[in-house]
Amino acid sequence: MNKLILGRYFPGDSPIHKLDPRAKMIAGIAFIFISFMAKNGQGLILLWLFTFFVMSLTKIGFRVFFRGVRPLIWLILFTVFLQILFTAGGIIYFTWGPIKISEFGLINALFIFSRFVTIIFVTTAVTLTTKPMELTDGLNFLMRPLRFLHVPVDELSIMLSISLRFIPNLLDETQRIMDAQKARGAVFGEGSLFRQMKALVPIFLPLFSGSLNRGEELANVMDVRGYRSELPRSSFRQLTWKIKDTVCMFVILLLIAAFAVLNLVID
Amino acid sequence: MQIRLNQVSADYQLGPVHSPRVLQDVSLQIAPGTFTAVVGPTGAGKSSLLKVLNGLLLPKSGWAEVGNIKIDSKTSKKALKAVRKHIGMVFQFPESQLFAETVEQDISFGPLNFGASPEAAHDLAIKMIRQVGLDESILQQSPFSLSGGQKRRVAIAGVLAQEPEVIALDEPTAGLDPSGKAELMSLFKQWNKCKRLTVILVTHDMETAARYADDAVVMDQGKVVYHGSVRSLFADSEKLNRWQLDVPEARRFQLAFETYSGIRLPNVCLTEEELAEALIGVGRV
Repeated sequence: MNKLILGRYFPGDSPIHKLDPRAKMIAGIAFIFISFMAKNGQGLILLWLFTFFVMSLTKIGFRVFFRGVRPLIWLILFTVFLQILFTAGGIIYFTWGPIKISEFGLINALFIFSRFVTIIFVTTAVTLTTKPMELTDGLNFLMRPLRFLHVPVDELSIMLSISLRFIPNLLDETQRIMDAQKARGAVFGEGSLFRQMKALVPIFLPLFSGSLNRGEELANVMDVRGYRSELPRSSFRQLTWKIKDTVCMFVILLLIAAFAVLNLVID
Repeated sequence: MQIRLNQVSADYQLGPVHSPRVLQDVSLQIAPGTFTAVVGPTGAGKSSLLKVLNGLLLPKSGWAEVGNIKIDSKTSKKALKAVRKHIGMVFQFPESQLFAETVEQDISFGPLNFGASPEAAHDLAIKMIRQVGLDESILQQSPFSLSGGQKRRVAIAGVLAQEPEVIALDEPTAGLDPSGKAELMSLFKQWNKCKRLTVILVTHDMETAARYADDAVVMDQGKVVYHGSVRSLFADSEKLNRWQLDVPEARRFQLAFETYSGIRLPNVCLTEEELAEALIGVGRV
């Protein structure tokens, strides 16, 4: 429970923290596509340089970022090994039945690994430096065009922000209930799989019933304070687009241009 | 059951929030059969102290001893379970731990975990539900269908059913109405007196501490700053002020009375009964 870094906010006042959430989100999404423009050694170096530049700008220790990769490391290694073992081409170093370790395989694996890890690093940089509420505000703004397709954008974003808001409470509550059941002699994470699952019932039932109660209370409070889903809502936190956000967008454009030039020159 | 803490320091981690040194070099001895109130401002480490006793929070340095079982940073899970058998822990809002289909199953949860036979657990459930002042018929109901006060009592019965020698209470009366509060507290007092159950009570309410406890432990910023009798704690207004503790109403009345009348009452009065007696005594002379 303590290991999940994705979606967690680290307070600070670095230049990245101060960017508008919309700018950060656009940049983050753009970076996912940009990472596919890296097609040669120089591009790969540029990709990593940019990633470390962004990471160091956040002023959050690199250790936190590495921890963010850890939950996905098996997925990454799996794809990397698939690439190594089953891509043919170039010099073949090793053959064993259908498995060939080839030059192209190794290069492909390196690219896939870099894309994966840099994308995780950069998106983690966005989520680490943006408050969950800012993220939902930004998302709300970016999803606005969907209104024309009758997607309930405002409702979705208020649902999202309520869910995010209650994650700490839920963690807290889980810990409390676990402690209470442990005090009554419950043991977690021991015995057969079935026993372990059974041991979770005394945690999840109170947790569910507590959440349902809280949900109802919250709904009542929102009603009492005049929340109406069908009316347009104003926002307490106004997002303001500043010069540095435009600068951020230019940096992304510059990065795209740099990759385009690299790919043209080297091919 | 003797409880000892020797220079216990502990950190606390919840999600990303890391609170260093919630307990700092806490040394403490609680004698068997006493009723001890743990008081102090929010965040002083009162609840953490209880968690250490129960092995839910392991000391980073130092050790705790419950009976003859030692708890330190390397204590095995098995030893912790033995400790938990001896210390019944009633958390804040204990009704949030109820989960079973029937009240009986919920009360039996503890005893069964600690190795009681189903028959013994059944008998215990009947015994405990009576002890907390509820009717036996409630045993077959769902705990979720009960009222708030009933749920609280069922949860406490569930803790008592493991037949602990020490009972650690974290704000057990929070959110109850005054009569429910008094009833519950006198139950604890009665168990303490009749069964020689050691009671450790964490509370913010000085009235409760003054009325029911014999000893008081005052905590401030992770340290134990006072451990002695409740009466001598409330006798010392200067100390109470320093630790921002309320003065019980009877004692407050006594102090005002003494200032205005110039008459000093013979002893420190903690409850209105004591105060009335002292006043009558002074009036007779």
